Amino acid sequence: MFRDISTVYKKEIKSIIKDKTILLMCIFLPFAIMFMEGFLMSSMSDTNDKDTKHNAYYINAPQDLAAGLKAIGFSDEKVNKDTCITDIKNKDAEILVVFPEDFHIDLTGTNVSNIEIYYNSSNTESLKMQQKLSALLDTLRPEVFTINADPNITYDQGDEDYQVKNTIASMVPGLLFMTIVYGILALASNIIAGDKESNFLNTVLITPVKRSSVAIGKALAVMTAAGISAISAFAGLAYLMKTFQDMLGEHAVHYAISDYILVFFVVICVTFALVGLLLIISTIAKNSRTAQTLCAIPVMILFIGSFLTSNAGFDAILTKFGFKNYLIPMWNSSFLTKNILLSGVTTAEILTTCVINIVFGILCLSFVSHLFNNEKIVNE
Amino acid sequence: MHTLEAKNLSKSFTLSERQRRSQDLPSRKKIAVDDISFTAHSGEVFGLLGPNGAGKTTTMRMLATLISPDNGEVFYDGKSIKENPIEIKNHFAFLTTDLQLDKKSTANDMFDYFAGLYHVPKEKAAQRKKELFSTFGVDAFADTKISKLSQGMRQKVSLAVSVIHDPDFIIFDEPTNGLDIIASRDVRDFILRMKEEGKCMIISTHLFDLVEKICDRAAMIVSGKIVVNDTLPNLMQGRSLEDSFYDIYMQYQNKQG
Repeated sequence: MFRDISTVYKKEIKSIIKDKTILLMCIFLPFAIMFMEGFLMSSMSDTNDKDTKHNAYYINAPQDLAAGLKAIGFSDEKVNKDTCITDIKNKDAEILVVFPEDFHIDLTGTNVSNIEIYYNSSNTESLKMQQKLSALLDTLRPEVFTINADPNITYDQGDEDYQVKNTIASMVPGLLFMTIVYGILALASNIIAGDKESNFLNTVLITPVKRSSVAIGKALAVMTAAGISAISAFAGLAYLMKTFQDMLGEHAVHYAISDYILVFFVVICVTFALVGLLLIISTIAKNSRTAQTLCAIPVMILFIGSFLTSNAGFDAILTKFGFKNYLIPMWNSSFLTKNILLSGVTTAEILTTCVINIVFGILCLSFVSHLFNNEKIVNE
Repeated sequence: MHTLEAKNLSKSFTLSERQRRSQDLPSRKKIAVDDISFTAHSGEVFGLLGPNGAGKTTTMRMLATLISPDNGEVFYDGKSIKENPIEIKNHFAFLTTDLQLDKKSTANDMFDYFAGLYHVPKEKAAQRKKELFSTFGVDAFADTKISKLSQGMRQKVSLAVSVIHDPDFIIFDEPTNGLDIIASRDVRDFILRMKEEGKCMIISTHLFDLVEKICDRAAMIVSGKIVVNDTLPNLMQGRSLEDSFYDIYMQYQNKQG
């Protein structure tokens, strides 16, 4: 039996290696998707904002205010008011703040100075500068009472990085699993459905080889490709996480090597389960097109579910579910990965997740073997 | 001397409601093969004739173990194929235009793959490859992808691949279907060569001239039943095979009517 499995496995692996498209999708695509995510995020980030030159100007700013304005990107270049306003309209300048010549802070409220802020709401950079300026000016408004004014006291008793971690931890599992499956979607759907459709599977089934051996050989080939896809996605994840840290600057959260190793181990187990499910779909589907369409469904469910965990309401439901989350195949990996990145996990949770996924994968493969012994596998 | 015996084979399929209505059948159960029995021996060519939809291909698929009969069994030298499928499949080859090779592979790849599946030792497989590729003229395109070969070339590769393991019984469904004159002649010559080597060929076809030229015995299937099974001379009785079978077919239809 092992010899037959090996014969089928070697043939499928050879086909995978010869197919440049599949190789590209397994090795390059997962890394590329994660890399592009990181690249897009870093280009949208405000962290590098201070290095960006802004066309932001002020007129008549008092000296102490001028320093604050320069710190948020304003230029001390002298400009003409009307010309600058025209430039803002034409999006050649972002913002102009004009202080009256007799600017003063009036605590009585009877003779307040009016600051004019010219900006263009249809210009994203202009809006950003306007928001920064408003935040700066808010700090200067007279105060009737203060809230949490003492900088030496930590008022927020929670993890100050929680929101940041929650965002990362909600996104990563879905992205990771989606990129892995994208790498092998075409292969998994074609390896059985495609052979069935082309009648090549019939040719194999008449040989003196157990049908289950054919099923297992094919499954192992897909799992090998999925493993490579997982490694590629994981390499991309490392870049993505680094980009997150750079993006978040002082709010960056740091994960230990052990966290990454745990996530990788979980990824391998869920890949096993996912491949099992995809192969069932490929076996049942009438042709490879149907198989590919159907294979995308469980992946999208996992992806959407993973993202929904960033929603407080959905997260509350999951929290109520508690340990039972770890008993649901594939979903448990998404949940566990999030918790590895967010709050930490116990050994029992890790073991349960891995065992459930491995058992699920084995059950799927058994079902595929059972389907192979059914006459419906023969293409009429 | 080996014997293949098909004993009381029956097979039915469940049609969809749409299929039942289009075929005007009283129920969704369609009996494709109804209690068929015949025997074939080494060194002969046995023909299975019949009109389209008679049950020939279903019978062949049951012999090849692609599908299981609802009733009856197939025996090889007295051994049941149901109980010893792996052992007995080593003695069979099944060839039909329905069975395709992997289009992304080459003839060389396919030969090596099926040599592994048929458990042919490496040295013997290499020797068989040399012989068969030379016999069928596959050497010239052994490293060309199957997808780029003509129908005739693919048939030659299929023939070479199907007999890697030197089977005793070769089940050939519609052997010349879709082939040009030259390729059809090659297939005919192959069948006769196998017969000379002591193999048994079971061929199913609706081509009377092919049966006349190569078969020793023939059976006719109509509506899933064997209506006649005899040697060619007895069947023909001095007439053409086509005329003889047409008379038999009409007699059978009249009886049923």
